[in-house]
Order: sequence, then C-alpha cells, then structure tokens
Amino acid sequence: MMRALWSAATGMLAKQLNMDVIANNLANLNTAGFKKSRVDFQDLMYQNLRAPGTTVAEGAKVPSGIQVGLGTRPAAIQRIFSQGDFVQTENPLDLVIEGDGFFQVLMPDGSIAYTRDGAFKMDSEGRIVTSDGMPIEPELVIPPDAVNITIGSDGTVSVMLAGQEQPNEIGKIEIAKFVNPAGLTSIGRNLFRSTAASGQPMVGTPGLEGFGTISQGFLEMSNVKVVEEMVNMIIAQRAYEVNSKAIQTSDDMLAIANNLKR
Amino acid sequence: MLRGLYAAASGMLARGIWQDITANNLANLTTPGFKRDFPIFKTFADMLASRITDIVPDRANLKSPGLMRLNYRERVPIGTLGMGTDFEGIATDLSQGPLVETGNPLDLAIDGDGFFVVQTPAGERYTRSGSFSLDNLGHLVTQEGFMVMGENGPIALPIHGPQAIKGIEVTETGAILVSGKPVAQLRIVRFQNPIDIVKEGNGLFRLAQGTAVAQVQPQPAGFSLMVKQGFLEMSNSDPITELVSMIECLRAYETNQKAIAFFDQTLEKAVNEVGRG
Repeated sequence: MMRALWSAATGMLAKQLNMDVIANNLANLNTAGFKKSRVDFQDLMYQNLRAPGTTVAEGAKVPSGIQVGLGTRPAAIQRIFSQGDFVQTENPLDLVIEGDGFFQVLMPDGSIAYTRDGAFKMDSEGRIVTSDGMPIEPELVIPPDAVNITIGSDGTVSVMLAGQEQPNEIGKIEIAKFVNPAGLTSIGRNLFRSTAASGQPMVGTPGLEGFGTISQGFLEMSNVKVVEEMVNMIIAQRAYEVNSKAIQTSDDMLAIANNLKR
Repeated sequence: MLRGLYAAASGMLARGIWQDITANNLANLTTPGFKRDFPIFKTFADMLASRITDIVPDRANLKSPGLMRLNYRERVPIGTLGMGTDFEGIATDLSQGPLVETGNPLDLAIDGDGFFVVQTPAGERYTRSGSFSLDNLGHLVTQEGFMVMGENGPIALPIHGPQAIKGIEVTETGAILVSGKPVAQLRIVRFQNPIDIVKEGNGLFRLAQGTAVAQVQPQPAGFSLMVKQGFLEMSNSDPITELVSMIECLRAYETNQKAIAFFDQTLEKAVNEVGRG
C-alpha cells in the first residue's frame, strides 16, 4: 500500500497528542505554579530506495539518493520551567520563588515532592501546609500567639509574639533545585517528583548559590500564555486537517489505480 | 506491447512516490529542524525512432535471391521517443525554517548555514533541531539523550560547587556561559555540498560516503551564522507548497491512468476487432 497513507496518519496522530497537551495547558491557565508542556516532534525513519553516492556506469556517482520519509513521531513532552507571572495577594503565607528552585513538601508516605505553588496555609497545629494539608519540609510551626508572620527573601520565618517588641526567628524555608528540572515527573496537584533524569535535588538557602529568592504576599501563576497556546492550537488543527487531506488524496490515487482494470 | 503503456505506468509509479514524499513533508509540518524533501524527475533515455518503411533491403548480404534481409544500419531516424518518467533522486531543501521563540533557555536555533553535532552510539550525527535538555550529570543532550558536542567533546555544565548553575547563557557565537563564565563552545559544522548529508530520521542527518565536513566557528559580526538561545527552528515545509504539489501529483497520476485506459482500449480493439479476421 502507499507509504503516504501511513505517513499522513502519523501526522494526524501526532497532532492529536499536540492538542491533548495544549488543552491541558489551557485548562491550567489559572493554576498557581503550573508549568506548561510542549510536544517535540521528530521525523520517523527513512526508507532508502537508492543510496546517494552509489556508483553508476563509468564511475559516475548518483548525486542524490531516493529516500522516502515515513512520517513523524512525538519525541518528548517537555515541561517548560519559565517563570510565571507574579500576582500580589497580600496573604502572608502566599510565597513565590523568584528564580530557580522548588518548595519541598512532605508527602504522606514520607517522601519529598517539589512544587512551585506557594499558596500555603496553616493547619490546626500551626504547621505551614499546602492546600492539600501536606507540611512543607523542613517543618515550620507558627506559635498560636503569633500576630505577624514575616518571611524574608532568604526564607527566614519570623513571627511577632503578642506583647513582644522583637520578632522571633522560628525557622527557615529551604528550597531545592535540579540540574534538569525538565526531567521531573508530574504527579498532579501541582507537585513534581525527582527522577533519574532530573538528578538529585540540591537543597539550599534562597538567594544563595543560584537559588531563587522568596517574596511574601505573592503567588506565581501558571506560565501558560493564551495567545501562544491559541496559535499552537491553530497550527495543530490546520496540520491535522492538511494531513487528512493527504490521506484523502492518497485514497483517491488508490481508487484511480483500482480503476485501471475495468 | 505498446510502448506508451509502459511509459504511462512509469508516470504513475513515480507520482506514487512523489505522494509519499509530500505526505512525509506534511506529517512533519511541526517538527523542529525538519527539512522538506522534493523529487527530481527525469525521463528515461530517449530512444531513436525510425520509420519501418524506410528500412532498405541489405542486398550485399543476400544469400539467395528469394530472401530479403533488412539492413538495420540504414534505418532512417525520424526523431526521439520518450520512454517515460524516472526518479533522478530526492533532494532535501536545506533552506532556513522559521525561528519561533520558546522562552526555554536550552532551545537553540541556528540562524544561517550549519548543523549541531551530536554523538550517537552509531557515530557523529548532525541536526538542526536544537531542542536540548540537561541529563542528570549536567550534559547537554538531545531529547533522545545523545550528547551535544562542543569544541572539546561532549558539553558538560558544572552542576555542583560554587559554579553551580545560576543561569545558562548561549551567545550568538555559540559560547556557553554558566554564571557568566564560559564553560564550553558549541561545535557547529557546515558541509561543502548539501548533498553530502543524508537524512537518518529522528531529526538526525549523517554524512554520505566520502564527504568532507567544513568546521564552522560562528563569528559575532558580519557572518552568516548565528546561534539563537530560546528559539527553535521550525520545519521548512509549508502547507501551501505541499498542497499544490499534492494536487499536481494527483492530477498527473490521473492523467497517466487515463492514458493507460486509452492504450487498453486500443489494445482491445486490436485484439478483439482486428483479430476477428
């Protein structure tokens, strides 16, 4: 059968995957700390009908071969860790990391997950927790009589206790960064886990050795840009369409070939 | 049988492959660094046609007066006769694809002539698709995990200690800076002749046999090559050109089929009506 049919079909499949990724990006337009994904495509293998450089008569060499490509395939879905927009919330437990780094979250199974979503809350015991109630690592407990929480750009958490004039330092927020954040795996709920591809987490103090600094009272929104996604959606839709045209045309050609013998 | 039948069939076969190429170009409309292919057709070598009636008897070689041999050396040519279409080859259009800003610091695009060099288990390969990542050891790698080569071997970025990654900057000349300090220089190569490289799939090109590679060092100003960070070069196949060639291809295929059908009718007449006796 015609290679064209299958090549065009790979094109349609690839664009479907592209649409899935775009739809997820758009669905998370307003998700704090969300990082958009992108599908990278590659051409599939080539079928060599005649190799270039083949010697033909009298020592002459064929200048160009006959290589027919067999379509496309998704090579990777890459997460883009560019900075999202900062939104001022004036909530003292809303934090953003300006620059590289992730907040560390203690999962119920004892492992550590990583997030850029800094919408933290306080639980009944005064611990700083995520919206899902998972405490940040290392654990920070706000005393019940604290009236004012201040978090410095280096992650130092200070509280003013009722009736005191000097702020008390109660702990430090540590952040982690990865050699290859694109290698992190998403586990949903704005959380990531480290993998062999991401490398081991390097834990450090915000503002030092390439770690980002912390700002209080802000939230990092998703880094999805509507216009960019819309343009990608148009490209994906039209590419899908044009590939379906290629399938139709190949089908027409097969019908023509079938009509050779009446 | 009728020569035209074979000629028309060769036309259909060649158009079949052309459609395969167009479909591949269309499937790779959004593949970064993809370069479109296009067919080069040629006709089979023409043959001389001559009039049968002009063949003269070879009187010198006649053995008996009753036998007449035809002297082919004295055939009178009346012109050339085409024997159909064949592929000269499939060429790759290496023209620049559009550059798209991605905001990803490890997306690199070459504006101008040249290829990134990557190390694969099968040897050195070349690519225009600059969608790179870091592996867990800080090597600059392709999405397949193949190492991107610098002037001094694989590019490894410092990931621990004081020079740990603060920000990766790639200059237009291909120098890679980490925390403002140069750590590597991208190796970029150019080929003397575009036909020296062959597509391998997966966005990679390899050398055709017996080919020399010109090593290119991008220069800051007045040079045809620039490395752009945060950009990806998109595919240079565009849907309009491809759709037009698809229509052209389909119609040529149809015409050739019509020609075959016509020859078939002629043969039918010859076999069934003339032969009826």
